Amino acid sequence: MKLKDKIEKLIKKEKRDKKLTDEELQKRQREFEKEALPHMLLLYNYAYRMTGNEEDAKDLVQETYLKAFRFWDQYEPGTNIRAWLFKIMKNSYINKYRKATKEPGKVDYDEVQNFYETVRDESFESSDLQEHIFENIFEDEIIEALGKLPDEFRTVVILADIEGLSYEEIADFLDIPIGTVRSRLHRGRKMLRKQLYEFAKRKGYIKGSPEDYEIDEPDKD
Amino acid sequence: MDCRETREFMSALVDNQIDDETKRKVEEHIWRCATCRNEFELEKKTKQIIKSNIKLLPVPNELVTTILTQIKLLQNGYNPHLRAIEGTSTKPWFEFAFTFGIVVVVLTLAILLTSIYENKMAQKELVAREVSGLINYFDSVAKGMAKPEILSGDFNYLQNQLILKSSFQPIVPHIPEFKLVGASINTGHSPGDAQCVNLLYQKDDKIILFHQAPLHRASMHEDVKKRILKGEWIYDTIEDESFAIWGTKELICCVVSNLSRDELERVLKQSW
Ligand SMILES: [Zn+2]
Ligand SMILES: [Zn+2]
Repeated sequence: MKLKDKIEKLIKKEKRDKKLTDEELQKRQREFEKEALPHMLLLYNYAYRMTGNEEDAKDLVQETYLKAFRFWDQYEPGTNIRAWLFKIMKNSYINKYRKATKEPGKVDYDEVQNFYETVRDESFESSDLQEHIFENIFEDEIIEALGKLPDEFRTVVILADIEGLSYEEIADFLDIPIGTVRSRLHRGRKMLRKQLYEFAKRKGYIKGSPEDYEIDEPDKD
Repeated sequence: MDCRETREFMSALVDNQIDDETKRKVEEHIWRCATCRNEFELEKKTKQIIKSNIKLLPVPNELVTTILTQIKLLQNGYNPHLRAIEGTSTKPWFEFAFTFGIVVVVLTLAILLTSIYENKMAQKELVAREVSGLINYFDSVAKGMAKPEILSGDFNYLQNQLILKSSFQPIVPHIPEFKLVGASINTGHSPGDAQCVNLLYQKDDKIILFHQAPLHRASMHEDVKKRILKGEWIYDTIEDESFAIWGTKELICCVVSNLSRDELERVLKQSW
């Protein structure tokens, strides 16, 4: 649906549902602008890192704010507005991008599992290697590596490392326990490191195969 | 605490999002276990490298403007006066009331939009693509979704305002039988400060939207540009709307209307 059709539909619905006076309307708008607009930086950056480009990020933020304004009455004052806005955006993102690329649900989960299995193999890094992994890494490569993470993992990395949110807030944003935030972040960073390792290998900073540097998998204390 | 448990709190330790008791236990393990210590150092470095390389980007100004404008537009949808208009027997085309106009909505007009077109796209489709954004805008105006920012029935006033406010010298033609009722100056459909001017003419339930922008700043498909530079006036229709597109030495002009294609051609030929 085109944006203008959307707006039109919203207006029609609002007209039907609400019989607010001009004053109430203006108050509502002022309130919304005061409360919601300051969080655009957080939302825009999340959208940018998830979609990977400015245009899509702008669309996503725009859609989020229009929806938020439309449903402003459902926001409970005093609760975390960032989480509320973020959830609206996350839904829009899923509707827009997830469906287009793959079936939701199981397929996604399998992919994540596979990814995790490969990362679980810790042999790709050892103390001998770590300096090389982080040597000569370019910003572009880090962005590319981030873009390769599955959505679930990318999300926590963005929120924690780029946006600087607390684990508690991330848990609130995503409706997951703090323990899950911890493990996703740990794994997410590891996946990213694995990507950086691949880049370093490709560029020849690291020679040989990971097996050469194999270390014992620690399962015991 | 063993290695496995330690890994569970690894990220929390890196971010210092951990209670003192757990922190003590994790650190104690890390102190004894070289593998976990290594893992911890790597994770710390990873975080640092992400943080120092991927900085927060500022929100583009035009995004804020667009959102604010759209909210106002939505808000205008609540306007009780508009309900009254809806109730009257005016044609759906004329559900918009010029008199309430304060805000102009800069919907993304695609006519000058820099897009990557497929090389082999048929000419007709190509032209339609160039115009579609304008059709959208036209449609919004006609349905009362968007309002020209300058609203006046006074031709001279409108002309003066346009000359004052626009960054180039716009054409403000008289169109026989039609009355100039509104105008808007849009910025930002292409990068930079490119401006364009929209004039709105009305005769009963017929509307003509005349769009113009400096030719040198217009980024449009080469094929279309070539035709226009040769002096061609392209007439066509998109669904219910007819349009015309042509160029002058300085300007790219585009007209969209709910007149039929032939009527539009006739009217324009009388005006130019
Ligand atoms: Zn250990
Ligand atoms: Zn324009």
